[in-house]
Amino acid sequence: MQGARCDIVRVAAALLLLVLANMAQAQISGNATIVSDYRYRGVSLSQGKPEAQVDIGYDSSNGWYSGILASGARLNYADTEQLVAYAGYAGRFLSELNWEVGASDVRFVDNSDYNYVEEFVGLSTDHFNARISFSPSYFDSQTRTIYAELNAVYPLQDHLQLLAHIGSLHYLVISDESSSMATSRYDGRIGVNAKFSDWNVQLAWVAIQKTSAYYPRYEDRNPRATVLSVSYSF
Amino acid sequence: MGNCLAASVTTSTDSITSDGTSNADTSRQLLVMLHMPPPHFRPGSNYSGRYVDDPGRSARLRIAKDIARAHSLTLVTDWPMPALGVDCFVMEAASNDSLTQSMEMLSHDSRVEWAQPMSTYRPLANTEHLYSLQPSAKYWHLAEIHKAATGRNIRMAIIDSGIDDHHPDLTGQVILKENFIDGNPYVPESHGTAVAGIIGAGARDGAGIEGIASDAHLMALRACWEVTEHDTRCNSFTLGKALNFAILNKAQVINLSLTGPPDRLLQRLLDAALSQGITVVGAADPHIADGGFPASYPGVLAVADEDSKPVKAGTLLAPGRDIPTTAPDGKWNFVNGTSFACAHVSGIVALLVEMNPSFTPAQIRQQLKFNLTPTVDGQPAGTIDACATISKSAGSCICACPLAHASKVIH
Repeated sequence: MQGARCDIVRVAAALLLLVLANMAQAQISGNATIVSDYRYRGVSLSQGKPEAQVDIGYDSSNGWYSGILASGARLNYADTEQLVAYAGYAGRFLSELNWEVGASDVRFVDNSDYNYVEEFVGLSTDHFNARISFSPSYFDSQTRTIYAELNAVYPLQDHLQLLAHIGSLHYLVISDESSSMATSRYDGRIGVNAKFSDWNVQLAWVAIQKTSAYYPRYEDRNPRATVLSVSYSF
Repeated sequence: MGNCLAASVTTSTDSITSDGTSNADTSRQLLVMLHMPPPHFRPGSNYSGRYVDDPGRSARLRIAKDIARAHSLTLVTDWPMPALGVDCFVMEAASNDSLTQSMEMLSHDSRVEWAQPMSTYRPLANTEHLYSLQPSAKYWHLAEIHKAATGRNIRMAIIDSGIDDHHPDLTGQVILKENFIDGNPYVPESHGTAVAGIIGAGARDGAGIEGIASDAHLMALRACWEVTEHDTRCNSFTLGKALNFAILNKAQVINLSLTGPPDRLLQRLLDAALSQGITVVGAADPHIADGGFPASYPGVLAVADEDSKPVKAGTLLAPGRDIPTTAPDGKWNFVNGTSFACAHVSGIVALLVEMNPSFTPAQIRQQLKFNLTPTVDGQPAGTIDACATISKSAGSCICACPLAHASKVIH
């Protein structure tokens, strides 16, 4: 637990140095969210309970970005905190097509057995984004995975958008522990987002394929859920 | 990358909105550009929506408020311009003196990508009834050149005042309408409707006119507004929003029948448009040696009325007098001015783009052919020869072949 916190502190310090090194036109932004069920790629990381999340991000003027997310979580029937440090580079191919490459370091303060890192590449337009993420040991399962996702946003009205997501987690190498599991599984999400100034309210229906390929060493009892979230951007 | 500020150079007395974008007194307004990073991954529960509820927008608004407060400005409105990667904020100074001071201070503010005055633009048109009917079709031989091309499915952005899309000649021609003047509802107006008719009026039997690109898909982007019957205005902010929209919505040709001072925001947007292969056609102001902006901007096809003399080398000449065209409320009118010469060239450019969809704006420019001497039907030397132009792209003779049209480009 102490190790995870120290690592996160080091990451945060590095981010701060990055911020101080290049403040011109750099921007710091944040998001505070209350979510009724913290569903990550279809799986509840809060065992169906509400959680609070805070995300602070830094964008340099030359495309580099970084940030940290702190979220409540619940694993093995015990409350914990999840800390996600992330960094990457985003650029534009054309005015309407963007690309990015980055990595994230996911840690659970009281459950270091689930820590993992992921690298990703992505493309985005006004209404779509696609991203492929690779983890050498997803949720510290000693199993290499690739997660491919496609997200879409369709404006319904000025302040209302339809959201859709589909993702697929592929296990590249099945460890002995999870050898009986399927090699892939799909998750989906569809919802609406209402934006009111700095506030966003999202209502989404989340589902994950019923297979035995649950996240290693994580129990998921509810393959479908309706999730409400309220967030404030700053 | 940049911010946008605009200071008006006119002193019109009309007032349309409270947000200042079309307000008469834009002389105290400026555009402040803040860098807008490309969208990227942010973790959290709303993972599929992170590109929607971009917290960066709130952060930039907070920064803009801080900037306004620090420089004694009032934040009026803003508009993201992803085509340039900037968020454009309109701010207003308390006086013209303080505007100058604010501009100086903003140029040293590291949070600001750039700041600029709000410029005002106007069409180059006169819609009075001046001359008798002289069908422009005779100069352009529409019946013949339409055998080769009609601008089918070409996305033509007309950045102008409101277009009457219910006009009998324009019904079904306008595929989308957007209004970029806050607080001022979209209304059909004279200049925009006239330009739209010349470019893209539908080919129908019976009454009415036929546009040069009668099968083009018109994008009616209202960035200008009528102050009075003969006074239409636009500014840096409204034009910037419309250009940004045209680029993002894949316009293939942009018609800018207007003129004003050089403007950094608009120059950046024109660069973005040209780099994506969008052909931009601009009206040259006959009272300014270089034709004014945006016609004088590199890469933009500058167009003058064929009776305008002298014109800057490289300026295209096209009919701009006694042009019958559409008017609001289902009417027709005769119009005069460089604006309408510009519309003619946009129309023929649409035909060329249809015939040569992979051509760059420079290659499209090279396809144009000109009359070396006055024509038998009355066109002066140096004007665009529509038949020769379309024949070149078609690779075969389109009009009166024995009278082989001249092909020398006037420089």
